[in-house]
Amino acid sequence: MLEGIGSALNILLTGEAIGLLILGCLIGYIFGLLPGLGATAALALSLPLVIRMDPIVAMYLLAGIMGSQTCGGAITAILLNTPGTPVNAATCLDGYPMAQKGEAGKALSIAAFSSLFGAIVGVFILVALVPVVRSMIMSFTPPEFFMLCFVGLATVAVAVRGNVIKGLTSACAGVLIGFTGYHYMTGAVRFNFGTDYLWDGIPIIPFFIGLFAIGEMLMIVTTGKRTISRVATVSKGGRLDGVKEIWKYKGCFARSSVIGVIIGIIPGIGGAVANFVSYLFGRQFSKTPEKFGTGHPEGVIASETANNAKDGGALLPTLAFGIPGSAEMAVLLGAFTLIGLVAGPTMLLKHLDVMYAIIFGLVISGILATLCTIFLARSFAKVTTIDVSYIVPIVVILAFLGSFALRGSILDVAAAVIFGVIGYIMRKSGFPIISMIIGYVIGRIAENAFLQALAISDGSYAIFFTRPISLTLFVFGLFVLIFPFVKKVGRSDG
Amino acid sequence: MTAKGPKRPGLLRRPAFIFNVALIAFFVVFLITALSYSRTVGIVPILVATLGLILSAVSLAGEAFPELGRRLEAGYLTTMEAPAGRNTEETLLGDSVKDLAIFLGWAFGSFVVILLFGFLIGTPVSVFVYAKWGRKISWAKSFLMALGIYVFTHLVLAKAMGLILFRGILFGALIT
Repeated sequence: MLEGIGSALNILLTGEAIGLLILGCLIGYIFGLLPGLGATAALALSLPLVIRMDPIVAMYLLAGIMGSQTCGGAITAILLNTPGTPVNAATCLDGYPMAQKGEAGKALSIAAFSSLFGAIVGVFILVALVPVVRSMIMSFTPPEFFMLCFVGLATVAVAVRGNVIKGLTSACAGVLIGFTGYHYMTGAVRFNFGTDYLWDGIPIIPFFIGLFAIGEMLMIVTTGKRTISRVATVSKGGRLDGVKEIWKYKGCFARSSVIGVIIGIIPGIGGAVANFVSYLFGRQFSKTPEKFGTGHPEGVIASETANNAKDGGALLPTLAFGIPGSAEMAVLLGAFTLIGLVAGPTMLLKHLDVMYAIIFGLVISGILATLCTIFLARSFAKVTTIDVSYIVPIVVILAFLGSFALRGSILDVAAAVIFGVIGYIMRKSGFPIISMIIGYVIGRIAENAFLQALAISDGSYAIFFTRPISLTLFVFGLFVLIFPFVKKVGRSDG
Repeated sequence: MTAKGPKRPGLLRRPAFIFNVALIAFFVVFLITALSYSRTVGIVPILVATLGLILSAVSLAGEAFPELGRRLEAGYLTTMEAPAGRNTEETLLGDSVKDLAIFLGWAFGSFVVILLFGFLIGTPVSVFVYAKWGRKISWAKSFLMALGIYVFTHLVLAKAMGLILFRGILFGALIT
């Protein structure tokens, strides 16, 4: 463990790592500020940059982006009642009323410090859980890994917005897209449909960039919204009020941190849900629930703490099992592939330095973003008045360049455009993109585990149901899939 | 007496219906292809494609028959945070056909320009065209945007990061 910390710190102290961490923080902050863009698009666009980087340095860049986006998004939520990212949506409920009461500075301070402390608690819980997970990993063999993938896909399918059927269909499509190209175990080429281009499979960067960045640009273009068109005002003072308020509502802060971590661990749910669930719990357990929604500091604490604490939780299944806890984590797994890292059991056993680099990156990025929010919020808020006409072509051109960068193939640019259109249609038709992405990422892991398990059992499927952990995971996955329907039937009967 | 809701767009104008049909075709193609593979290579794709085909058929039926569709609307978050304006009642193009057409035309045109003249010429030209004629931004600002993207492409990507950028079919042939 100490070796991992030392190695991550050594690299952090180089100018390159610090520079990239600050750059990542700035990118994440600005993408967080701009409604419609978010950390996932920023991470996808940054993938080409990490290809030739040292893995640890690359982690600092990516963690910088992840660690600052919610702070950026909180500014617009509080000042303009427009969440910069979905994870800040609940912050509007009390943050904006506070701003209207002339307490914008205080609300920003509460949001900034809640984000920072939430992130710190999240990574502390992650570090504390690592030894437990490490010992657990040892008891995992191919059948358990397959069932874990099944649980991951089931959870993603039912937990994302929309309905279970669409979530599962998207996940199946993602799994099949991930199957194109070489089959790891036999070397056979599948689903290339006679083209050389698909021999290596659907490339990860155009796939991610197309679905997230180009698809989102299409949404922005077709909504016709040009800008938020308001200049925010921030009252002076109250910069350290956030710390005082967090201390005052420490119970709410602790509860929100735990909720954030737990929701982060569950694959596919992410911060958008974490902040709402935490807000609802905050109101439920508050001594003054009637004040929620009227500009109550506790509401801001509940929302902003959970949406940052979730990163620590989401890292756990991502690093330990290669099952992404959120869309950002799916892109992070894509980055691992590009720089030669393999998430899964070996990550926590042999590459703890990578985990600590992400942790340090998240915390430092959170500190920088907090400083930006409490000292420069007014200046940064002006970013939201930029007409999206300026942003769209630049993001698309960056997406083209990014798609080309990995393999130097112009066809990858065309692939990104095609996936952009698919992403747009999926958004319009209520098919969750995250299910497709996670299906793409874990499809091959699941298939390998499935085939290895069958090889161990001489082709008997009983191996999946006779081992206690595997069977438990199967039952849990089945429950996760069936429960929404049972709940619905129960409601309609009642 | 029941209140009349907003009129649902026709099936062929609904993005969810179109996408469902496309998904069914996708799963059928993958299933047929997977059936020709050996057991080891094909078993998992066959299972996944079959499951996907059944699910997309059910989802399609839900689109065609709204009552069935409402029965299928089950999920943990369906009532909690479904994003506004992104439901199956929407049409694919909505009210912004012109914006979408401009954007897609520009994206395709940019790809062609990059294909012919490479990234160093294609990217600033594309940005300039979109800004000036697609969004009616002033000449000076459009030029500045194009210059900015050229500087980024040339200095950051090509020079600093050593990325070998595509030179284009025409431009590449000219300079060699």
